[in-house]
Amino acid sequence: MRAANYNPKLRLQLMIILLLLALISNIFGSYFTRFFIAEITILSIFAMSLDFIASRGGMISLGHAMFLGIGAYASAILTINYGISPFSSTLYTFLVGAIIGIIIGYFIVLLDGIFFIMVTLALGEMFNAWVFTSDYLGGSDGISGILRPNFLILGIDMNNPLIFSFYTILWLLGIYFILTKITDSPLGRNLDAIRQNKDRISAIGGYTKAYKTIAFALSAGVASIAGSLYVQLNGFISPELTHWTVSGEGLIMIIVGGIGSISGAILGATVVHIIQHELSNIINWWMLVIGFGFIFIVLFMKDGLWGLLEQIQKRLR
Amino acid sequence: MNKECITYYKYNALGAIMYIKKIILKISFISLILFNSVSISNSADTIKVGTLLPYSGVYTVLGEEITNAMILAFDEVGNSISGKNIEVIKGDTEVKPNIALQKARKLISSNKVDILVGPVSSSVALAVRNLVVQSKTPLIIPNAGANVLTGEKCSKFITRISFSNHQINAPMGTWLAKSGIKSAFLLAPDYAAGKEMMKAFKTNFEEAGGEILGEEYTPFRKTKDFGPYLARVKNSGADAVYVFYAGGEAINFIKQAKSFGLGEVMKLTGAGWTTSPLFIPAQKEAAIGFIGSLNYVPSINTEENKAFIKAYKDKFGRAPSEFAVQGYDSGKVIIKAIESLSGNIKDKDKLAEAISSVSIIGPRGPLTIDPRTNNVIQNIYIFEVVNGDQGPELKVLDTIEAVKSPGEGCNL
Amino acid sequence: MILIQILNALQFSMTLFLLAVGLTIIFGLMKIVNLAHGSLYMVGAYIGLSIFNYTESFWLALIFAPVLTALIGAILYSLLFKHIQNADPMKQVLLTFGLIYIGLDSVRLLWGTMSHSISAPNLLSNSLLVLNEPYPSYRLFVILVGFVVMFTLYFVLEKTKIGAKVRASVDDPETAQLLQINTDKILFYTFALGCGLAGLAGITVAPILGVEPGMDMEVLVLTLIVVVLGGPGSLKGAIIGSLLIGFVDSFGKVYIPQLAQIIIYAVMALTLLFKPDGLYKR
Repeated sequence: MRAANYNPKLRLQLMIILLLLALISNIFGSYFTRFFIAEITILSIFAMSLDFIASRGGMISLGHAMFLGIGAYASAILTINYGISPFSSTLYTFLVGAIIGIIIGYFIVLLDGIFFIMVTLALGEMFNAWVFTSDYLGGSDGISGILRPNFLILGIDMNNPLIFSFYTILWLLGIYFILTKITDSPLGRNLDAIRQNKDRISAIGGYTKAYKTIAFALSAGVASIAGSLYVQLNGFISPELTHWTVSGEGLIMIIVGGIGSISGAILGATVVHIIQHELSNIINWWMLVIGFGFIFIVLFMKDGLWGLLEQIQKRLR
Repeated sequence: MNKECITYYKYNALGAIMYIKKIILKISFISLILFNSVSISNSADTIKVGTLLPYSGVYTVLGEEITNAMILAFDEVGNSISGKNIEVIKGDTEVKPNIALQKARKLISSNKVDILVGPVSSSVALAVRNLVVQSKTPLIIPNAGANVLTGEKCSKFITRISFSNHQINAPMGTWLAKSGIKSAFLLAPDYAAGKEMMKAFKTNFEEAGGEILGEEYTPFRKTKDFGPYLARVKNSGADAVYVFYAGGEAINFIKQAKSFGLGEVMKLTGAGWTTSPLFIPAQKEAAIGFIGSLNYVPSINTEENKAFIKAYKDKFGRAPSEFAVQGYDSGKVIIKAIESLSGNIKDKDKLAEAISSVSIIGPRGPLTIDPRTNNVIQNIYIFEVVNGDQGPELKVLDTIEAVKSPGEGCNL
Repeated sequence: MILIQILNALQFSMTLFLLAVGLTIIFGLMKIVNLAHGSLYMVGAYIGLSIFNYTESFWLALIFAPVLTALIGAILYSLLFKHIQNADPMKQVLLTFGLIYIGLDSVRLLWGTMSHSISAPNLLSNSLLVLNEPYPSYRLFVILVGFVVMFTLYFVLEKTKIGAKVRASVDDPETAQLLQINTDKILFYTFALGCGLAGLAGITVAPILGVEPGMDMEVLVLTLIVVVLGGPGSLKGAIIGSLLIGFVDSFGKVYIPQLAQIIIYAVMALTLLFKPDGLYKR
């Protein structure tokens, strides 16, 4: 991970390209493609949340699927048990996720990177185990029958996959802009400085713990939003979403995409999800491919695809 | 070569790679669109059966057995019904509900299957339930046992040919109590199926005068070491321990129970999958003495069963399991239902009705579908694992005929 | 009955110890957490399975599976870890994460997805009477193996010259090199040893827990907790940590099953709160 002196202009360019691709595929694609695009979008939001704390806090989390789960289950419970509208439930889950993020973050943000990974992995597993056996959350069968936001008054039918897909893209754009604004703001600069040298900042009086906790909470909230959208896309939630492999996938996505630029995370999410999907249709041993590919990128492509894009841009100048 | 040369070449190569990568990305996106928007034409002369089963992951064997046997059933009629060819399209659920949902969508909207067969796991079944009902695609369940699938969440488009969790365990409650077992300790994995099975047993056992001395649930798929639980069970003084386990857990439980000498102080009983023929090779003599209940045992002495076992062995090289039988019966149900419509399956409602009106005699014995719940009505076999010529085998002690499932909350 | 439960807890603790000690030694020396440690445990068990199936001898499996696993560790070290030794530790950890995926699929391709089992050798297939209660003698054997490894490692690390060299390399690599200690070689052998220990854990425990896909991650989290709790790099910490977690887990399952899982994480969280570096520093 290097200094985040990346290029905001390139970041925006990448974002626009991806957005166009998504829109085109959506409009000209089939029923199935639209679901797929929505899935990629939601995973991109998840990846952005991971990227945010990795690049802005130096925290790599292997347990973030837990927040996906928190967002998803909270959304399900709020809409089914308490009759809250699905759209509002997504907003509420952000709060739920962020609050839990603050509580957990308080204990773990100052841990050294490797410890942090281990602890988040353990926490993720704990959440997974709890969700599996909790009758209130539907246990191993999960909860089904969750509805999508109702905007019929505005003449929009969310049950149409095309429309819902656009809805998720809107969320993606919104979160993208907020995260980039934060990244470019003093808060973001502070976090980046903390990431680069925590002790130095503490020495000159910076509130390391506070900033890192805020970053973690923000990331948790965003991941929860992804979870909420996910449960509305599929209409159900089951414990599998909180399995460590989901956190692992997220990690792979941001490494492949390149840590540091928010749109790199989106690129990573897109590439990894497509490869995984298409690959598993063709060959049986796709995990092997992903493992090797991942190692290759870690060894030789320090900044993932984003890094490559930057180098191309430099050459083209 | 000096450093500058190398970096130049590196940039060149990297640039080339990146350019190629970009092209690949664009191409894959476009091909994704094209591939998926061009629906595969629905030839009027083919019957498309989609499978929604695990072909990777822990349950792979089950997915394969069910598919193998179903294809065997199709082969027996020359792979055609009423003059139309049968095409089987597989969808790998990976036992993950969200992946299964993706595959189900693909099968239904892209491949346009006429019938879906699957899944193995109940959580997958619950995930795809709404999609199946909304799209009016008849689903035949060849395994998933959650009571609610033919209960609260039943539908005329869902027909279960396998069993409900209640069906397999309730008869044991009554039977064990009547055979002199006065008290039992329950042990099962901590997830929906485990709890449903124990509940069914408990209700009937207590109704017949039995007493439950203890009930424990072990972390699902995370329990390898049953030591602590076995000690508890042994100490309870119950006449019998009643369990449900499958897969690796079944193997471990039976082996460890033997090593703790549990069978010497009480009877080992439970849902029949715990000593399924699939696991006996690993359990060996440790399984002997286990009394269980299942909807199929290899030793059922009928012509249909013997013929089926031979056909399966000839084609696939090994003896069929109870899962294979469920797949075989699914195939036969499909054949009979479509024949009754003379091959005219355009009307989905009629197809769903035809499927749930079928009755067949399969390797398990006579099967009919309960019109009120769309769950199968079948025989339940109480067996004991005894030592046979070729190792431990399941010997039938009793047959309970035409067992239904209550299906609360369903009224079709 | 309580004696049986104590023995169960002890046996589980020994299993955790065998795993944790390998991981902690590697961490102490190389400052990296080998997330693929669970995968090596699994590979050890599978290799043992094959040896067992081929030779029908459990003892041969017990001896050669760890050796072969150590060999795999040596290869991994030479191919991968040696070259990025001086890189960002995070990078190395990510590397091990990628290895998990490779391990999972390799095992699946080579051995399939069914659950397998290994029989304990005839010598140990019976039960011994411990205070009038029968207890499987194989589990006693596992406890024995754990103790033997524990004392051997302790003796070697604390009382021998090689042990001193290893400790020196952990505490202060630069000075050690100045003193003509070949730290590279020590890293190599210790890494291989750590992997071998994971393999030993796998084959030792296989007759009880079986051999099946997914066994790698099941133990990884508990092992990580033991290492974090005990203090990475500390042998004493690994001993105390595995005993603590082993007993809490076993007794928790018996007396408070609903909270059993949560308790372990709570213990870890509390320890981290008050002693962020674990109970014992290296």
